[in-house]
Amino acid sequence: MKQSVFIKTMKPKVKHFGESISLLKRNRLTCLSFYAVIMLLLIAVMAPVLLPAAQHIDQATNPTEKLLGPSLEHPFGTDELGRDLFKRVLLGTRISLQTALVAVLCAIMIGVPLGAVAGFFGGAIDEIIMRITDIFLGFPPLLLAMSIAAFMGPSLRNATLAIAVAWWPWFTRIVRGQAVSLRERQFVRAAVAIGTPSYKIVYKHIIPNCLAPIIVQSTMDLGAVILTISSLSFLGLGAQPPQPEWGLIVSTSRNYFLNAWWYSIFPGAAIAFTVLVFNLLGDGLREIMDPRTRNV
Amino acid sequence: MHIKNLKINFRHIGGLKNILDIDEIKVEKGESFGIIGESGTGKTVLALSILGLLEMPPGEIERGEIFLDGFNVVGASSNELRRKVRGKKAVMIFQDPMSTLNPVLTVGEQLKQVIIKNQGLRGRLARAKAMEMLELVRLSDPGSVLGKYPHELSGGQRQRVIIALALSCGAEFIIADEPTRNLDVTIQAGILVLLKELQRDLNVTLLFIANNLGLVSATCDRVAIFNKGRIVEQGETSAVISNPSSPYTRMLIEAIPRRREERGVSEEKTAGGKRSGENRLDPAGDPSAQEAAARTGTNGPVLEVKGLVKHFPVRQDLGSRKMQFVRALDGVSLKVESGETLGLVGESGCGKTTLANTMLRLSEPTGGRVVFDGKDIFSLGRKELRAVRRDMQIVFQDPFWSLNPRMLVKDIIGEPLEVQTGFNELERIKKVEKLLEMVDLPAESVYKYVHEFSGGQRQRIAIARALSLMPKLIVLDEPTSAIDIVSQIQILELLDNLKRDLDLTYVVISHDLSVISYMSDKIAVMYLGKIAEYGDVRRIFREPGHPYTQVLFAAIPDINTKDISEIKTVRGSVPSAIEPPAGCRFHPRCAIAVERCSQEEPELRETDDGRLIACHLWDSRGGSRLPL
Repeated sequence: MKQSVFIKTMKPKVKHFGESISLLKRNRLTCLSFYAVIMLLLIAVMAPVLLPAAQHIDQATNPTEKLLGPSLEHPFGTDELGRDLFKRVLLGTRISLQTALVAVLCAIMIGVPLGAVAGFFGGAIDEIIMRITDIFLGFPPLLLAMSIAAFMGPSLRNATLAIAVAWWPWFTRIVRGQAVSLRERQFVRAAVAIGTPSYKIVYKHIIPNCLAPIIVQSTMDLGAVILTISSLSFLGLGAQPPQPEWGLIVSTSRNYFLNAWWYSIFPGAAIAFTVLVFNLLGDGLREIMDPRTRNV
Repeated sequence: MHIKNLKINFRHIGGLKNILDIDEIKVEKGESFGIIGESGTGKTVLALSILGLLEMPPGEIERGEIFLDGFNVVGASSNELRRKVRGKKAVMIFQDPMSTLNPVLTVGEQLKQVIIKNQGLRGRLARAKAMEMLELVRLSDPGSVLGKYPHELSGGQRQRVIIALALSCGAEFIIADEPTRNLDVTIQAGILVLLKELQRDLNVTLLFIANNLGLVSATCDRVAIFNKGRIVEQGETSAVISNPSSPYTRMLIEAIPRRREERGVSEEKTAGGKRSGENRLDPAGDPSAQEAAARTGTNGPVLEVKGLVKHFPVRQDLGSRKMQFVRALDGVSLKVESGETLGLVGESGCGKTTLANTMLRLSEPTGGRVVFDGKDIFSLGRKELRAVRRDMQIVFQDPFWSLNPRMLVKDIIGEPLEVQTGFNELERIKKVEKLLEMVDLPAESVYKYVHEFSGGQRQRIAIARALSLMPKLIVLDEPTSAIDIVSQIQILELLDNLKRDLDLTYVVISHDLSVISYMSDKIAVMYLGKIAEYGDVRRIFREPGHPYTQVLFAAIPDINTKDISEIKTVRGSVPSAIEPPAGCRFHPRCAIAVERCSQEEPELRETDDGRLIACHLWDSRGGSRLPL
């Protein structure tokens, strides 16, 4: 009995999700970007598995093959230590996606509850939370992340944390705006009239109804965060050699730019592609999540 | 105007959807023609396509012709439409007067622009003409209105300005798309009378779109009834109303709530049918019902509101230190006896909804007391308050906003149970199924999202949620104003039956007098945060006592209104609640006000025929025997 309740509860939720996917398929650009994201995720998961002894291959230097141009054997060419750039870019996908996901998730975990609480309760709580957010928003996110990363010492993990710290205020702002309007909605008032405690209202009524903008924003932010991580690595504050991080590869390629164009172009293109794909997907999701396009 | 064989489709993500399919409509010159239908039946689409304003895509005209004065609008280029049709042959008055006017230009500028463009008058002459137009739409003090911005005008004034704009184009065909939808009833009456008189005096043609038969019965010569994009009936207004030929029209007319005494037959029908018992909860088997029975004390007032005051602070000017207040409630007292239904009536802004929210302590009062079930609810702590909330529930106006779209029905209706009782999930679901049965929804609804339900069904879900804890008092805040006419009567019948079966006490808030008269035993008429009149619903409906009540009742057209002269209008509009008029709040608009009314505030006092009334002139007028 208990189990059947669970199944019956899940059924409409799955159906709802299925509707979202079918809506996604109607918009060609969004659909393409969706498949591209899936492909990126597959690469991120599979590349280290499929390339046996990946770490070894990736880091094995081979001075005889240094700075070779793109060929069948090395589609993206090789770097100054003779490492295959194609493999390094593939392996870099996991680093970028993983750190970006972790950073955005951390930012959501900090930002969303704060925003919901600020918007729902209002008054002094709202003032305090939002003024702190304003202070964080006063700094350019890259600069803030840079100073935090520099303070904690350069490493990929610290860069991820730094980005999360620099990023949460955006979520707080979005969710707070939503929460303020949701608070006036009658279903929230109905919950108050029933006697539902405030914390339950926040996590059952406010946050679930902010999900659409959160998902859209975080999808777009994934792109921006990947860019920021690459920038931090480029500046030497993120990934450290010999990690195959895209920004770091671009950074080292600077010295060989004039006679080895492939060295900078391919990892750079990987960054651009990933950011673009996430932005397109975010844009499409915004349309899909919009109830006006939905209830037809 | 002549429409032939029109078929309009809308292209959506889901494919093609037919919105409108009309065989023929013919509107003669100088006639007023009404189009009636529920929301979503394509009335506005029709109006837009007459002017060639229909957005394509998503819309597309599959076939058909619209002739305006011999000119076919369908297929005309946008240039032609601009030069020949819009403003020349036909103009449109939209629902929302605020968004139709340009907020950064004064009324005079906007009128002058139209006059200069369409009539070739300049400077002084244009201004004089603008004045003339404003006088034509019976705006008092047109000189000062000319220099005002739209936001400085009231809704009724704005709609009049728009009518003036429409007339100064020189077009002889006016399309009015629910022009009174957002207006208060007393303002609506004025606009209706104005439109009708203009049509009669200036011989313009009027296409009047409305969602309610009452609005057209007095204003339109002929009428077409729309249902799902098709015309179900067309003909003389009086003939359609007195002798409807299509079942849909008959349904619309029957859907108008009537008082119990008038209903007679239908009463027995519902009582004798399946209502008689199967839907009732079995009190013995239901712990919360037993509890409710135990909680019910003596048969006295369930709710007593004593001198309730609620002021909302507003800052008037930038930088000004002086705080001002919207006096939403200014000393309201009333009593609701156990088992009775109190109706609260009044125009928007009179404080009905604030009263509902404050008396349930959804917002904190500025002053006064509310005693519910013997407890002063404003002195209760958080825990005690939660316990009291079991017994008082509210059903909100708009079921599209009052149910969380991300929750399943079982969680929505089960939320009060989860919060207030120790039920586990299985017990909750069982209870929810029972509640759904009580409101006549299938038990499978438990595992559905609200967007799968229609407006009327959603309101049933909201009612089920309010019932789930077996409360003593339910406040119904405009329970049917957001749902279509046909479901309205079903919801009202359901509420009536539930009340009888479960011994509920209702407070019904509505601006719709037919709803109030259907539901209520007592009625309180509110005006600007005060109660103007209070008493037995039958007596007040028969002999409204307060001048405001009289005006309010006479301002609402219904299907029995045959001639426009039966609609009474009242001057002015509802004053601002920030600085309400001194003395009697109604005196600036009252036809019989004397000097005392502007100085001394009348007390709410009991009359010899058992009602409470706040009017100085009650005695000198000889009670209600001297109607305005």
